[in-house]
Amino acid sequence: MRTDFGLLLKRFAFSFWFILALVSVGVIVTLILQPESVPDGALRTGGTILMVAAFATFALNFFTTELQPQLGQYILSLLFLFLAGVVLLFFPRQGLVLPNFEGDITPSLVTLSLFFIVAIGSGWVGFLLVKESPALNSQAAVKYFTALSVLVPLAVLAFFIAYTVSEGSAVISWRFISQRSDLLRGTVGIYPAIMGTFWLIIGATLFAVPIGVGAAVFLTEYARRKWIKQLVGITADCLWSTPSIVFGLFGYIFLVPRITGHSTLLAGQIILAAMLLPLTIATSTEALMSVPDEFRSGSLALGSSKWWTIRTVVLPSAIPSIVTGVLLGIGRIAGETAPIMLIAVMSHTSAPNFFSLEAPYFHIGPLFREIDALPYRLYSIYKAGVGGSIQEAWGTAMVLIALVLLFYGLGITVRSYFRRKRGW
Amino acid sequence: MDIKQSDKFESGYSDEVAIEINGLDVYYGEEQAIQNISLDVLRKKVTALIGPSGCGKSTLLRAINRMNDLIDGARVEGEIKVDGQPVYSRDVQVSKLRQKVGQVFQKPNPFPKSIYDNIAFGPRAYRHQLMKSSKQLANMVPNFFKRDGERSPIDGRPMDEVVRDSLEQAALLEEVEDKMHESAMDLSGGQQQRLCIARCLATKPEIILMDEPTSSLDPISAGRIEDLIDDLSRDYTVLIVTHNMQQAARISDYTALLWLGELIEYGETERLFEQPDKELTERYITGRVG
Ligand SMILES: Nc1ncnc2c1ncn2[C@@H]1O[C@H](COP(=O)(O)OP(=O)(O)OP(=O)(O)O)[C@@H](O)[C@H]1O
Ligand SMILES: [Mg+2]
Repeated sequence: MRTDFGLLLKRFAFSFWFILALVSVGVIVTLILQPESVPDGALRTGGTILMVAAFATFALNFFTTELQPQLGQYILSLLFLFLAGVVLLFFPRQGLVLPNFEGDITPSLVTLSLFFIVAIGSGWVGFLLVKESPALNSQAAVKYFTALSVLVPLAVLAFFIAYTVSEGSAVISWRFISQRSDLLRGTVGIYPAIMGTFWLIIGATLFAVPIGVGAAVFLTEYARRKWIKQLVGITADCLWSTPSIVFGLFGYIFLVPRITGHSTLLAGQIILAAMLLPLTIATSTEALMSVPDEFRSGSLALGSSKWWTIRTVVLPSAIPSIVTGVLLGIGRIAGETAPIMLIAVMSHTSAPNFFSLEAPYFHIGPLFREIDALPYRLYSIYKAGVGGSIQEAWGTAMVLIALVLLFYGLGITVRSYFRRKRGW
Repeated sequence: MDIKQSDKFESGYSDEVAIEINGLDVYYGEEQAIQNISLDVLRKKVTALIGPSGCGKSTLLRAINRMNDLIDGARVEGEIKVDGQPVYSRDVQVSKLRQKVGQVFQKPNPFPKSIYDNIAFGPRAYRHQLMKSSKQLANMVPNFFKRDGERSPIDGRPMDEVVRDSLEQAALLEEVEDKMHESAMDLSGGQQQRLCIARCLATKPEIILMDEPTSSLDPISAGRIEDLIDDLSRDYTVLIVTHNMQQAARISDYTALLWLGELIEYGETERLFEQPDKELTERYITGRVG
C-alpha cells in the first residue's frame, strides 16, 4: 500500500525531472544561440523554478527514505542544480545579479542562498540516502560521488577559463601584448606588466628555491633533533598563512627604505620570495622524505659520501615533487596584488630591460626601478579606472592566466622528464 | 681445515682471514642485539649466517661495513678487522672501507638512473672522494663531457669496460646489453638484484656482504643468484645471510648459527649440517625450533 504510493511519487518526480530537463536544455541552447532574445527576468524565474523543483524532490526523497532512491536521480538532480546555478548567476549579460546588502533582503539574495542551501543539503542528503540504501552497491555510490567531486573543480576551472577567454579575447592582439599603453600615441598594451610579472616570478623563484631546498635538505638529511624540524615546520606554516598584505607592509616599512626609498622590482622579488619560501620548504621536505631510504643506504654502501648521495640520488628523485610544490607557490605569487602594490609597482612604467646589445650587455639597473605587473594592472583598470576599458581588464586577466599556465607547462615538462627517469 | 669460534688463527694463517671479529657487542640504545661474538670469515669462501628472525644477523653484517653508523643510537663495542685493519679505528676512511666491503640488500635497490649510471655510480662516487682528499690535478678533472674517455678511478680502466665487466660477472650483460642507457627500474626483480651485485662489483670490492639477497625473488631468479654467488666465490669473500637452510647448505663453505645475538656454532657447512656439535644447532637445522 505504502510502497505503491511511494512508487507513484517517484514516477511523478522522475517525469517532472525529465520535463524540466528538456525545458532547460532548450533554454540553454536558446541562450547560447540568441542570448538577447531571452529576458533576464525569465531566466531568473526559470532558474528559481528549477531549484525549487530540485529542492522539492530532495525533500520528498528525504521523507520517504524507504523508497530506495536511484543513484542516477541524485546525480541528475545535482547536475540540474549546477545548471540552475549557471543560469541564475552568470547568464544575464548585464553583470552578476548580486544581493543588495544595503537594503532589505532582495529576491536575488533569497535565490542565491537557496541555491547554496539546496546544493549543500541535497548533496548531503543524497549521499546519506545512497550510502544507507541496501539496493545500491555502496562501492559504486562512493565511486560516483567522488567522481562528482572531480567534475566540480573541472567545471569551475573550465568555466573560469572559458569566461575569461570569451570576454578578453576581443582585445588580445600582438600589439596588445607587445606594446605599452601610451595616451599620447594612442596605443594600448600591457607589455610592461607582462615583463614585470615575469621578472617578479623569476626573481622570487631564484631567491626562494635554493634557500627552501637547502633548508629542506638540512631538515631531512642532517637535523637529528625532532624539535628543530617541528620548529621550522610551524614557522613555515605561520609564514604561509600570513596575509599577503602583511608581507607588503613589512616590505614597505622595512625593505623599501633600505633599498632605494621607493618601489623597486628587487623589493617585490624579495617579498614574493619570502611568501614562496614556506611552501618551498614544506613541499621539498615532504618530497625528500618520500625518497626511499633504500636509495640512501644503497649509495652509502658503495662508499659514497653523504653529500654525494644527496646530490646524485636523493635530490634527483625528489625534484619532480619539489617542482610541483614550487609551481603551486608561483601560481599564488603571480597573482598577488596586495604586497607588490606597496613596494614594487607603479602604473605606466616601462618594462624592465636587463639586456642590451652593447657592452656590458647586462644591466642590474631595472632591479632598482618600479615595474608594472599584471595583477596590479588588472586592479587599476577595473577599480581605479586607469587605462582602458573593462575589456582590457579581461584581456589582462587572460594573459595572466596564460603566463601562470606557461610556468605550469614548464614545470610539468621538468616533472615528467624526471619521472620517466625515476619510475619507482 | 677445522676452525673454531673464538679461536684465534696463528699469525701464519691470517692471510686466509678476510674478516676478523673479536668480542663484538652491538647495542641499539639500551637493547643489546649482538653479544660477544667472535668469528673469523675466511678469504674467498662463502660464509652463511643463519638463525631465527631478530637474532642479529643483519646487525652483524652492518657492523662490518659500518652501516650501523647510520642508525641513531646504534653502538658497537669490540673489534672487527678487515684485512687486519681495525674497522672502528679513528683513521679509517669509511668510504674506502665500504668500497672494499660491498653490500647487497634484501630488496633490490637500483637507483632511478640508467643501467650504465647505476654500475658507474660506485666508481664515480670514489672519484668524488678522491677529489676531496687529493690535490692531484688528474683526479680533479671531471671527464663527463666525453663518456668514452671516462675512466674508473679505482683501477684506471675505461668506464665502459668496467660496466661491461661487472655486468658480465653478474651474469646480466646478455640481457641488458642493448639497453644500457635505459632506466634500471624497468628490469625484473631478479635482474635488478643482479644489477645491484654488478653495481657492487664495479667498485672492486674484496668482500661482499649479502643480506637475504634472494628472499624477495622467485625460485628461478633465486637460483640464478645462487649460481652467481658460487662463481663469485672464486674471486671474492662472500658473507651471506639467509633464512633458507637448503640455500645455506647448497652455496656456503662455512656456516654460522646465531641465536638471540649470540654465536651458537660456526664451522664447515657440511660438518655443521651433518653432525652439529650443539643440540640447538641440530634442532634449528631440522626445523624443530625457530
Ligand atoms: N634500527 C634498529 N633500531 C633498534 N633496534 C633494532 C634496529 N635494527 C634491529 N634492531 C633490533 O636488533 C635485533 C636484531 O635485529 P636484526 O635486524 O639484526 O635481526 P635479523 O637476524 O637480521 O632478523 P631478520 O632475519 O628478521 O632480518 C632485533 O631485536 C631488532 O629488534
Ligand atoms: Mg635481517
